[in-house]
Amino acid sequence: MLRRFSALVVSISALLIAVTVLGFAANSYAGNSGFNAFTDSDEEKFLHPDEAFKLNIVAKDSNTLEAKFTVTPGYYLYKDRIKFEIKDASLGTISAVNLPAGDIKDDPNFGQQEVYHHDFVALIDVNNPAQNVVIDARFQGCSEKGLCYAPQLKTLNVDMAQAATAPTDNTPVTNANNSTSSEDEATSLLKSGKLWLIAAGFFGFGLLLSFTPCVLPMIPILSGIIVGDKKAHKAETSRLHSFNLSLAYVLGIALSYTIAGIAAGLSGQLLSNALQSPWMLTATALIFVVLSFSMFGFYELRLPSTIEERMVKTSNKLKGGQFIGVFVMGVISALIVSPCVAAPLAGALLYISQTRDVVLGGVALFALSIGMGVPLLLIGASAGHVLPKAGGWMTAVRNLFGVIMLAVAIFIVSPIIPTSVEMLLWSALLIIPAVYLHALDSLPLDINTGRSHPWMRFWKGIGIMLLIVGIALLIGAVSGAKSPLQPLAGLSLSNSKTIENRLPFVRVKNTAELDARIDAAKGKIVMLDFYADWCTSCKEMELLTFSDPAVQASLKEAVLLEADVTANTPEDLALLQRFNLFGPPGIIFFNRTGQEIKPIRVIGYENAPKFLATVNRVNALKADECNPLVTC
Amino acid sequence: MLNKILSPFGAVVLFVIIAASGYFVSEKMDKKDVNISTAELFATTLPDENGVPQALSQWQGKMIVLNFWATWCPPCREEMPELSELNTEYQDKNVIVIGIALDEIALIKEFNAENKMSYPLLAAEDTGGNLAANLGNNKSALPYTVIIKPDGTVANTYFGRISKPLLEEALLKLIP
Repeated sequence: MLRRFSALVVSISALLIAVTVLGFAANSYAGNSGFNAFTDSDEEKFLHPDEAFKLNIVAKDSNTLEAKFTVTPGYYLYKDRIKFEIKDASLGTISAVNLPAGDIKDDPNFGQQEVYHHDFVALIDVNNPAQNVVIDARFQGCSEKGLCYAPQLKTLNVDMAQAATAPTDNTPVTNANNSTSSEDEATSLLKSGKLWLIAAGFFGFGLLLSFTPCVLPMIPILSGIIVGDKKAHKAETSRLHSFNLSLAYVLGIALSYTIAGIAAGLSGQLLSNALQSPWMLTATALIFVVLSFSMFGFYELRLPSTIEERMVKTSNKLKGGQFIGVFVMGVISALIVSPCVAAPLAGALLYISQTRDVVLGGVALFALSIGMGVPLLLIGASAGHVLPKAGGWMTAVRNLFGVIMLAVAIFIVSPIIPTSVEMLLWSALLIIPAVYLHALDSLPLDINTGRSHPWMRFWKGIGIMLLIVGIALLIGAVSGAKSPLQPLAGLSLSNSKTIENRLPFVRVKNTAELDARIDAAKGKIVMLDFYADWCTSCKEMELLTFSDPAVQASLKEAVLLEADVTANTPEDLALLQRFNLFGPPGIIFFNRTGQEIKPIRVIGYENAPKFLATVNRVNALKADECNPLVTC
Repeated sequence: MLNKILSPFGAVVLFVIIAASGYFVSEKMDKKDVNISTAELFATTLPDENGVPQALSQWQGKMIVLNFWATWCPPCREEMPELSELNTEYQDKNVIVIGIALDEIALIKEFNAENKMSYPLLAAEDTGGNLAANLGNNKSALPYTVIIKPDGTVANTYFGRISKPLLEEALLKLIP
């Protein structure tokens, strides 16, 4: 019961993080980052083809179209299956299609195939193009995890007049074959409703931010504008007018943030794969920790005072009362205030750069700034009569942000740190706030009633819950539990003595070493395990599957090799490439004559009974057999 | 007073609740309810590798392992020998494997001449995608495997490369 409860609370804290970075979309991007630790159902592992492969076609010049393909890491497209066609000859004819060189993939059935693992651009030469060219694009690809997608057909409408000016102006055309209908990135996000969810999330995030003291400096600026406006008109201006003024101001702020969001999206697109490396994950987590300290008030993030003063002066020079002036003032004051909200803002921007989506970045940050502007709009609507009162609760919200950012930091590094350390961190993050919620001390009494306030009792109850879960995690951390979701699993008797026995793997560094080891092992089954420190499912295999006595017994006779590809050196890459693997996890078996048993590969996590069945099949093979039905 | 009520970290909990509800809402929206039904499948007639029409209703009442594949799909080709083996081993237990290819008849014939599958291979070049979608394949992905119980309901669906042990595990639970 306790275990299930703690699992619930831990998963809720995990959700907290996911949602903190307003990761309603975290799921959809889970496939390409280290963030999928908590979503592991089979179906989620595979993206929808529209998410795995994206296509956008724009006019490059008057006779050339540029087809930009986005390929999610872990997926690939076949070069010779990419075709373009303009059905209506009156709209133009395709004279040539230039595809870049692809990676060579060795396919057991089709020989060497040229494929694309990364984003690429195809150039399409068109003779006599019309103003609007309707073009069909066909392509077909697979996931490295053993799944292919049916051929995709996208019909795109390209406006030739927009050559090189408007980058994303593809109007999707409704398609007869609706399972593969055409959509550009933004519309598919819109259709799934995710973009709106993300935008709504960021709006809420902004609203929360507006309860931090950060917005306070903006209030005198804005009320100054409104008061100045009143004086200029020598009369009571209408509420509508002052609301419009504050709206112009808020939109100015929004412009600054939207640009920041787009920049983040772009930078993520440029950095792409680098963002998922263990180093980058660690650095990102550290940034979050540093930022959270500013939320707890350990230090103040701000621009150098000289720059800030100059900006205040410039903004004061601008005349109030005029919409454009007020708008510009909004743009500038966003810059002044930014350092205060920098911590959560940087968090949001980091998240966006992870998603590598420009449209998402712009929309999300626009929503965030509008959310932040809500109190300002209220001030405007009340024509400057209502002003929020600062108080201790504002600090509470600030501290909340600090805790959230620490949680994000833990979540980000969780794939690359040992589970026990991860649980230790989670328990600290639960226990310390619990102490602040008076979980351990008696509640202060109200002087008037001589009793404690009901709300404080409520929070204390919550605090005690956090404390208990925190302690459970702490116990799990020191008793060697295998998952933060089951912190007390290590204590139950049934599986208490499993961690000690590790399989005796021998490290191989390169293909030459591997060949030598396989050669030396003639007459024995060889198992080669690809491993990396940041590979979550490798660790799960190690902890839950390889520790099983039955599995260990079944592998007793086998030679166990391990390739640690954490460093991703050229030698590591050569090893992976030899088996057409994109990365770990991957377990390869060789028969007694040293040939690979291709049909029996283990890609991804397998639990002990399943893995045992696999090993038994390998053991059952005859000496030179690679496959029960086909000879090698 | 207010600052006492919202003591520093108390708001954490509030946010957790908001966050969790938000997550579950988004989760729900994600999982569009797909009506999985075998009605259309059993009403379909597809040509086999020799072009002979085969009504799928002839296998109704058996435990069917329905495998959607194509000759151009490497993981499909990789798993098929295991399916063939499964079909041979379990045929006396009222189990049958059926392969539906999103491919031309000629290509299937060529494939089978070379690989000799023990189970029927049917061609559904244009309609296969829809059939698979009706059985829960919302990603037009291959291979896609469905276990259909004798009563016509779908027991399991699998995206991507499967293995004989995986299917055996599922079948052993279903076979009385």
